[in-house]
Amino acid sequence: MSAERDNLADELVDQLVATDLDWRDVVRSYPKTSLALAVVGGFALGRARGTTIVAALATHTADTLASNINEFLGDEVL
Amino acid sequence: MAENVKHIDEAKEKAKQAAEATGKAVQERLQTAREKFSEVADSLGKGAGTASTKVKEKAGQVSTAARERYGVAAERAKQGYDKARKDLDHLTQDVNEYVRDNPGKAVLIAAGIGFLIGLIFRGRSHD
Repeated sequence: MSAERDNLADELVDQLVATDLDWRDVVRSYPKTSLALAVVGGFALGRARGTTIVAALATHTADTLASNINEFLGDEVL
Repeated sequence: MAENVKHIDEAKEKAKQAAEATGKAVQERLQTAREKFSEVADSLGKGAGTASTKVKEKAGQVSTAARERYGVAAERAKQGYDKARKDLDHLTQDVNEYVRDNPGKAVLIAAGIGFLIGLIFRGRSHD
C-alpha cells in the first residue's frame, strides 16, 4: 500500500513537471532547496487560488462519494 | 576721703581678681569641651570606617555569589543550546534521508504545507 502511494505521488509530480527533467535526481541532489521551492510554490498557489481549489476538491470528493454509494446500493439514490 | 579711695582700690583689685578667675574657668571649660568634641569626632570617624569596611565586605560577597550564579546559568544555557543543535542536526539528517527515499511524497507534502499556509494567509488578508 505504501509503495502504491509512493508511485501515485511520483506519478502526480511527473504530470506536473516537464518530461525531460529528471526531477527525482534534482530532489535527491538538492533536498533542502527542492523542499523550499515546493513550499513556496504551494504557498503561492494557496494564496492565489486556494479557495477555488479547495471548493473544486470538495465537489470532486462529494461526486465520487455519491457515485460510490449509488454503485453500492445499485440504484441512483444520490 | 583717703579711706574711700582705699576701699575703691580694694574693690577694683577684687573685681580684677574675680574677672581673672572667671576667665580662667571659662577657658578651662572651653578646653574640656574641645577635647570632648575631638573624642566624639574620632569615635564617629572610626565607626564610619568600620561600617564602610563591613559594607565593602558584604558587597564583595554578593558580587561573588552573583558571579557564581551567572556562571551556572550560562553553562546551562550553553548545554541547552548544544542539545537543541544536536537534535536539529539529527532531524535534518532524517529529513534528507526521507527525501532521498521518497522524493515525490516529500515534494508533495512540502507543497501541501505551503498551500495550507497560503490559504491561511489568504483568509487573513481578506479579513
